[in-house]
Amino acid sequence: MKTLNQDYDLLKKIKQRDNDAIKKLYAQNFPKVLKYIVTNNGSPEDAKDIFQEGIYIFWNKIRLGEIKTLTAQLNTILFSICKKLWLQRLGKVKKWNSVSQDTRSFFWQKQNANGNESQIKLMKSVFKELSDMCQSLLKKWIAHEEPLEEIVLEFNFKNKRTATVRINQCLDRAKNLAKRKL
Amino acid sequence: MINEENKTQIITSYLEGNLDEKDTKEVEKKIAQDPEFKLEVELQRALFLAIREEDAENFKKELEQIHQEHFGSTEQPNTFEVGESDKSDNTTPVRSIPIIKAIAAALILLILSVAIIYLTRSTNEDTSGLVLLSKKLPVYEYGSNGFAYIQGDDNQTDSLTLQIISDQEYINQYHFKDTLKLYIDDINAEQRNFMVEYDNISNTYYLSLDTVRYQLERGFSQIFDLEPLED
Repeated sequence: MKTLNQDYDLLKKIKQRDNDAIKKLYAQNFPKVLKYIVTNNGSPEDAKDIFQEGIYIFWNKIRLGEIKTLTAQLNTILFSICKKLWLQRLGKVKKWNSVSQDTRSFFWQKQNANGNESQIKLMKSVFKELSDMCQSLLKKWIAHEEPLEEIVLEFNFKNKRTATVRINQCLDRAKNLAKRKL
Repeated sequence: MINEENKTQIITSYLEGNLDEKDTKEVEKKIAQDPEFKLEVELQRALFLAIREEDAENFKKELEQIHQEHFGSTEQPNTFEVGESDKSDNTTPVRSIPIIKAIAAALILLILSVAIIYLTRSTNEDTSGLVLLSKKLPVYEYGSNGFAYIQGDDNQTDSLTLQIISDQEYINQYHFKDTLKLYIDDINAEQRNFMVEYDNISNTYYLSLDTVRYQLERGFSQIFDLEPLED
């Protein structure tokens, strides 16, 4: 049986989206989810969809700190998420909101779900024109919602104030590039 | 007061819902009055959404790649192609199956079928694990014993065999056909209080394990999670 320390190590690596850790998680858990879904009126393709959505939710939960103390094994938690998603798709349970209501993600889903599609497309192309450092910084801060304390360490900034200034500079750079393309 | 120096930070706080009521009103007033500022807000919101969408799409691509590496494609391969020799005959197009593709398709289908048969066979056959406890347990009429574990015969409707199994693959799960198998890694299982109740109206079983209650699905071949009932 795996030790708790091994699970904590895996948890940390999944949070960082370490490719080897995600591969291990995938290889270990997909057969079980495939088995569950195929025996419950699903196809292998359904199993793949549900499992990948489940891993994304699982990663989000780890990233947002919802899974940090290991009361159950990681594999059990992931299976439970996939099972809920499948039951939801079969209409056997009411729609499940997988994002906690006190997170930035929930606020975003609620307030900013309907963005202007052409502006989003424009900003996707603008984002690719930013420096590698700006892309990495904004991705960590916006998409992964890493706290400023972690960003300071990761990017070797002097303090949180410096990190905020650099983030704002990258945001300004992106907006200025976009204005020129409008 | 919103100015050139602090506007990006204020827009971020506004988009993330971190401003108080007074500052939120000030931002919304400025959006309504200042088209330049309104554009700044829209572009910043679009950038945040773009980065989130892009990241989710990239993650999906990474997962798809891992799936292909470890489990191959689950899509039906395209086995039909128009042969070169048939292109000249416009009236009667004939489809041919290239031999290599046909063999590959047959092999994929064979492997997939074997995998599905293997994965869907009865859990009775493929679970091992160490049996920590095996005992006969009375099944009581639902609600007759409450939470007090009154061990009387009056309300006993049936009995079943309970097994506590320690298994590396199944943790906090159960399988319930004839025997109720609980996969919990507990070497002190013998000291715990187990009670099973049956509600004949809804055809539902309930397990009380010490003070925690669980609803059980009976008669399925797969293993379910043990999920405590909420009070």
